[in-house]
Amino acid sequence: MNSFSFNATKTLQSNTFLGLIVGENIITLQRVSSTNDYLKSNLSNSTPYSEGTVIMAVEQYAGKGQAGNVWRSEPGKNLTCSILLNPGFLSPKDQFNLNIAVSLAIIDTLRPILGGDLRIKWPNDIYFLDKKIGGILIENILRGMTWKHAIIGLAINVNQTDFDNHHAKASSLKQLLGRDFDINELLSSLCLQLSIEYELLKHGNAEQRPRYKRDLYRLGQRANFMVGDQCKNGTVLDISREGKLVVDFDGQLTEFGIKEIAFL
Amino acid sequence: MDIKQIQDLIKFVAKSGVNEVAIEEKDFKITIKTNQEPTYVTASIPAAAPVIPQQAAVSAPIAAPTPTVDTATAKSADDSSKYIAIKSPMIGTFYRSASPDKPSYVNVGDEVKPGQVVCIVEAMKLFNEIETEISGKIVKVLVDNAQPVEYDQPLFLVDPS
Repeated sequence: MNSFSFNATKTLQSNTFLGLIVGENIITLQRVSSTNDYLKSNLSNSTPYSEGTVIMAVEQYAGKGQAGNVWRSEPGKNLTCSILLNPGFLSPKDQFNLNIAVSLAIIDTLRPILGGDLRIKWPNDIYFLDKKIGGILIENILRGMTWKHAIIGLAINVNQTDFDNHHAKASSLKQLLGRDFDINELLSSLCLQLSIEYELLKHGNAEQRPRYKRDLYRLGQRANFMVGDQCKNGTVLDISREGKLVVDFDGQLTEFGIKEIAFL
Repeated sequence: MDIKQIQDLIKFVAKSGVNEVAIEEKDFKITIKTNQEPTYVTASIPAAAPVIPQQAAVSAPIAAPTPTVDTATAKSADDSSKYIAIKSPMIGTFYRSASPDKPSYVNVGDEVKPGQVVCIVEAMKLFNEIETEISGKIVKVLVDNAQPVEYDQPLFLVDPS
């Protein structure tokens, strides 16, 4: 398995080499507050979900967005799901690597549809140009120092075309391309991509981080940022090992955690 | 704390007959020892000057029942050796509840058992529910809500007995 080069792995359509097939077990719910909460509470009640189980919601009425914002999704129009992974092979210290693997799986799912202007907006949003079309929210369960479960919540805006004013930057595949998309097809493509990225992650693939960096929103472009209450002009240079954003302000490199900087 | 207040405190400690007084507040720490012939003082006072006189004013009365406080502190230090710490598995931000409107997962005095969630450590938008591996009673919460924590930093003390 180690002999697979990155390109061979990504183009291989057969998934017989994969240790885990994400999406072999898909549970579809008509209506749920949040697929992450559903999965989490069932796990805490000892429901024996196998790794790779997908909980998909037709209607998610209290999905979790950025900073606890509720994300309004019209029933049946978007891909909203949670995926169970058990990444005990990773140290919790390296957990940003899982965020990287999931981001890449989404990018590779959408790239054949949307092309080159797809970006990962640090740390966990998916953008097309300056429009947000998806997001990731990972919730983990650790026993002491050991990583037991990762609940990968994700949303991709697919066929919704009305977004309220709170989401001025939101868009969808349909809004961008003017046609409807099959949500189940997208899900199966995403499951395959995530199976591949997860396998690469297990084997400590050295390409994932550079690939994430290549697709980073505004990498290498001068832009304005809010730092505290100051507007500063700088350039995104890199992501640190633990996932901090490295920004160059006229030769001075600074690392930022999530609440310490905002894109303008 | 100004020189006059420190002098007053030294006089006070000398008269009280105790060997040592240590006062530690948020950004202010002073230790006065009287066990040797010469009385000496070590103090470190960081920049937050305007706040300190007030704290000193509060500190001085606290020093009054020092002999009893002193032994109590020593005793609890001995006890804490049998406590087990629940530590942070990563660098991040410590949260005592699932969201600001929810109650804390655990409080001092609560009995916990293995598998029970005690807190959340958030790192780069990954939210980690930390379950305890040990059972016992929470005797101390070592970190304030929404404060940054380091890898391996003790978060709670648990009395396993």
